[in-house]
Amino acid sequence: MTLPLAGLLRYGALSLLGVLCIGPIAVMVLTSFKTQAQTFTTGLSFFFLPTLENYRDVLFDASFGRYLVNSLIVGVVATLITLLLGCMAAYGMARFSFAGRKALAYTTLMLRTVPLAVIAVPVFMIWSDWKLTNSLLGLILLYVAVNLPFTIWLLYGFVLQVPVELEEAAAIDGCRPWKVFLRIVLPLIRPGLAAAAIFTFRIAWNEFILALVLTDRSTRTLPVAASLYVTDLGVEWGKLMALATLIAMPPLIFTFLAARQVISGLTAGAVKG
Amino acid sequence: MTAGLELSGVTKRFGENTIVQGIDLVANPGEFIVLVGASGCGKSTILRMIAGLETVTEGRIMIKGRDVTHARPDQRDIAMVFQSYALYPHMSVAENMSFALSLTRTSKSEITRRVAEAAHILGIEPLLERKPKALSGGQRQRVAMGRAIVREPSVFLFDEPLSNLDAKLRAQMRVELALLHKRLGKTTVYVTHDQVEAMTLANRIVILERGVIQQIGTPGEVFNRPRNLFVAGFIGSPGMNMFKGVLTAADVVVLDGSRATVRLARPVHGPPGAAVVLGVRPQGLALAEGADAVLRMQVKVAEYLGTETVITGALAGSGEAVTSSVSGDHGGVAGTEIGLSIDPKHLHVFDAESQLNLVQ
Repeated sequence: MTLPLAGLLRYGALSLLGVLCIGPIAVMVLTSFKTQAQTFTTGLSFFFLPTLENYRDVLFDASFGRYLVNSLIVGVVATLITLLLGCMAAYGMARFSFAGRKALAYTTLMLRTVPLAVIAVPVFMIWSDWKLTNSLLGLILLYVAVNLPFTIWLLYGFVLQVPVELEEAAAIDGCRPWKVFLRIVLPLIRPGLAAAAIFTFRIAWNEFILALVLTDRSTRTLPVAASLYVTDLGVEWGKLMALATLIAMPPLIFTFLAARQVISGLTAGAVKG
Repeated sequence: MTAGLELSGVTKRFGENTIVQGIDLVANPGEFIVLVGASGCGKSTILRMIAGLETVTEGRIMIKGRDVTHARPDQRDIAMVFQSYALYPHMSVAENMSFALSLTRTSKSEITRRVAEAAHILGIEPLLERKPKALSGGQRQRVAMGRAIVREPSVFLFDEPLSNLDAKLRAQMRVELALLHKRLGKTTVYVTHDQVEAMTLANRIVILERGVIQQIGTPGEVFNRPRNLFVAGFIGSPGMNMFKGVLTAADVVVLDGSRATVRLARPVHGPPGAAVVLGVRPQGLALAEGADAVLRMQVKVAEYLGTETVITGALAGSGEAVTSSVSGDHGGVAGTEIGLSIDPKHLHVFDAESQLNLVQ
């Protein structure tokens, strides 16, 4: 029997968790509608006269369009390249036997545990040497390198779940190996691709430290641009929060769209299980 | 006449392990061949080599006179039904069935015609737009067969296609498979470990043990004239009784332990004094009293199955396990000692060393 007290405690804990998750976002959105003065006078209050002044200033900033395009190019291209390489590498690791296959599968995941800040300096030196600093290509390559291990590891699990008999049936039906991969395997690991896309795009879109080190005025991305509102004279909270709200939108929309693909049981009915 | 399928000295090795050893098999056009054997005997490997899913270490595979030993699976003119169905889950039933044809750029009208025809044969017309996950096990099995039928191949390959179905559906599908083969008349190779499927479906049965063919023959031949002890023990349910004994004359065997003397219907090829194994089908042991009771048995279990009673127990004297199948209800004999007569027609004598049937 479930005690009423236990239920209350459970819902209380869940509510607290909800507040902890949504709280900072709510503060960000509220602050984006406040003037600089209201930010300090109203505190966390919901009762204030909202203004769109911050959004107007951010959106009509001459550089905003460029930063937005930079972020979109970096996010989308890095995601596409990561998925392309990731699904092929995962398929290779799952289906072909070679020495050290399992070790490779787990080593790729371990690489992901290295904090990005740790690699910032060596990457800057190498990228400078290769003339890749201050270019979107440099940033894209770096995000691909950073996200690829996790993507491979994630998709490796999805490929393993695709029954080998399906590939054999396709071979008998007339598919060559590439066609087996494109017509049978790829559609079946769609949930994995969607999950990997969410993950990669989110990192590429939000990443700050490496983008700060590797970009200049013309190649700056939105998170780096947000840091410009923190100046020696103070922090422009309203504008900073307005830009942060705008930055948070695309990943949110993308996640909702991609998450529709992340449904379990796509291979249901393939084989008797 | 060109054989529908011919295997010559087909061998498969994985490293040092020989999985399949020198298989020679000729299937006549339209023949239904069943490969049967225990798990790990190499029957599925043979099927996969015919399909081109496994390479052949040695030997040659011919389909309708064409050497396909090293051909790609799609170039062999075969279709395969997998144990697990292997339906493409992201495609509808119709798409599953037409996939192979669409890859060969068959015209749309031809694809539609063939899918409709196969669906009609299998009674799955209402399911064509469904996805595999919306089908029952039996329906999936039919779709898997439909996918094979639309290709109109020279050879059908079945890898334990009924093993995932429940007993009732399995019996129903077995009949449907037999009718389908009769209708299509295509050369078929069917792998199973279920001897009932083997006996009911096959024109000829190939019995395998450890990758080696033990016997090829019609269901009647392998049941009535098993070549060796393995075949005798494998085919038939309940299994054949095996009693150790000595051949005292060309037509007399004296059993160890019980010292019972069994007279054979005709002389066998073996030297007097040779150690032999006497094989008797459970149907060859009948309840008897007095002089007719050659054997005595301590009954442990008597199972009445409606038309017959399967009596299981131990042979008096030797303690060897013995099973008898007698018509009628004899459930009351459980726990008693009974006498058994032996029908000489059901007797087989195997050389204890070579394990070959001496009656042949």
